[in-house]
Amino acid sequence: MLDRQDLIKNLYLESFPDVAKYIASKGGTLDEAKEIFQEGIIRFYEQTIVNQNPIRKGDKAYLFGICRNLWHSHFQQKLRQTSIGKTEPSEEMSFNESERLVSYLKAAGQKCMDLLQSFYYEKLSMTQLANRFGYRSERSATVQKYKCLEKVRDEVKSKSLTYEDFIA
Amino acid sequence: MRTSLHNLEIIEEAILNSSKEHQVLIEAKSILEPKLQEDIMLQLVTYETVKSYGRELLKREIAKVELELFSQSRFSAFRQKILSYFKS
Repeated sequence: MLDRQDLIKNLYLESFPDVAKYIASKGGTLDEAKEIFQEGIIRFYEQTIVNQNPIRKGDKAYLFGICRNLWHSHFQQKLRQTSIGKTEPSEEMSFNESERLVSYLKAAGQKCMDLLQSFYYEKLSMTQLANRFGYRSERSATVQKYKCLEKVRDEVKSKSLTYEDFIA
Repeated sequence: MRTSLHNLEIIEEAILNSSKEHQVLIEAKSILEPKLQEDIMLQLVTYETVKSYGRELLKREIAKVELELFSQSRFSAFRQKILSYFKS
C-alpha cells in the first residue's frame, strides 16, 4: 500500500498537468490552478479514504471532475466579486478554525490528536495504529484511543461547541 | 477499561459501526435518557474536531509535496510542462 505522501505525489504527477492545462485554457493563473488542485485532492481523499466510497471510473477522471467543478464554482465567485467590486474575506474562517485546533492540541496533546486522526480520518486499522504509535497490542492502542477521545471530548464540552460550529 | 471509556466505546459502536437494529435500540434508549442524547451529540462534535485536525495535516502534506515538485531539480520536466500552459 502506498503511503499518503506517495499517493499525493502520484496524483500530482498524473493529474495536475491535465487540470493545469484546463484551468489555463479558461484564463486561470498558475496560483489558481494550484489552489484548486489542493482542494481537489482533499475532496478526493475524503471521498475515497475517509468516507470509503470506491471510485467507479478511475482515479484520474474522478479527480479531474472534482477540479473542474471547483474551477466552475471559483470562476462564478470571481465573476460575482468583480461585478460588486470587492473581495470576500475568505481567510477569516480558516484562521478561527486553526485557532480552535491549536487549543485542542494544547489540551489533548499532539500525540493524542495524531493518534485520533490516524484512526478516524486516515482510517488506519488498529494493527497499523499500534505499529505507528508503538503500542504492544491492538488492545493497548484501543484503550489509548478512547483515553484520547475522552480528553478531546472534555475540551469540546468545556468550549460548549456544537455540531453546527463544524458544519457552518 | 474504566467505565467512562467503555461508555465512549458503546456510543462509538452505535454511531459508527452498528447494525440498523442496534441504532434503533440506542435511539429508543436516548429518548428515555436525555443524558445519553447529550453524550451522543458531544461525541459527534468530537469526531468533527478530529476530522478538522486530520484535514489540516493533509493540507500541510499536500503543500509539502507541491513545494517539492516545484523546487527540486529532478522534477524540472514536470514543472516546465505546467509552466508552458500559462505562457500567453
